[in-house]
Amino acid sequence: MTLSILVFASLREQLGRGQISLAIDLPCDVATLKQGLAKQYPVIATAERNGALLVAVNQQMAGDEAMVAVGDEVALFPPVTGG
Amino acid sequence: MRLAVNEHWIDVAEHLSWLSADHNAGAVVNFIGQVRQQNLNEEVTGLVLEHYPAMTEKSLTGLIEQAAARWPLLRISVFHRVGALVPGDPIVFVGVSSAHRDAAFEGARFLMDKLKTQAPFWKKETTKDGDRWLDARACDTDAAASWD
Repeated sequence: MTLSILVFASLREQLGRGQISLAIDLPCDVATLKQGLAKQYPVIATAERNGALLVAVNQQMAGDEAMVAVGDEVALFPPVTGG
Repeated sequence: MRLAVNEHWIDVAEHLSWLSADHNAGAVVNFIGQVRQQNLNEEVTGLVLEHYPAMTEKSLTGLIEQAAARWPLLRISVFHRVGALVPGDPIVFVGVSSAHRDAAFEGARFLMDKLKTQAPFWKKETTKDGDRWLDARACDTDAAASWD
C-alpha cells in the first residue's frame, strides 16, 4: 500500500514538498521503512548515513524497532534545534 | 501548568508573577532563550522557527509530566515561539516554582535540556550570505542524556 509521510525543515526543503509517499507493506518496523525511503529518495539516504534522520510515529519519537501500522501518522525530520 | 506554542511575544513579567503567586513557592527559577546576534562567527539578521504542530505540544506536555513526576514542582510554565524572530527576541521561556531551590533549578534545567533534543522545532537563520538551517549540537544531546 502507499504510505504518506510528513517531512519537515531542511528535509522538506531538499525534497521540495512537505509530504512524500512510499509503497510499502504494513505493518513494518521503522528500520524497514527507512530502507525503503532511502532507496527512493537520495536525500533521505544521505541524512540517514549522516545520523541526521529522526522518525516520529503518531507524534512520538520512534526508534528503528518501532512499528508502523495502517493509519499511523509518520513524520521524518532532521535533529531538532529549538530552545 | 501552563504551556503554549505560538507566534506571540513572551511576557516574561507576567509569567514570573504567575510562577511566584503560589505562597508555598520558596524558589522560582526561569530560563529565557533569546535569538543571538552573533552565531557561528556570522551576524544574524533574522531567525525562522519551524515546528511540527501536531507533535509540539504533545512532546512538551510529556516533558512537563516527567518533570512533575521527578521533582516536587508547584508550578510549571513553558512557552515557545514559532515563526519569524529577530536578534534579541525571546524564543523560549521555561519557569518552575518549588518549595526549595534544588528542585526548582533541576526541574528547569531538565525541561530545557530535554526540550532541546525532543521537541520538534527547527531554527533557520538569515545572514548576509543567505539562509542556513542550524545543526543540532552534540553537547545538547549529552546534556539531555545526562538525565536518563
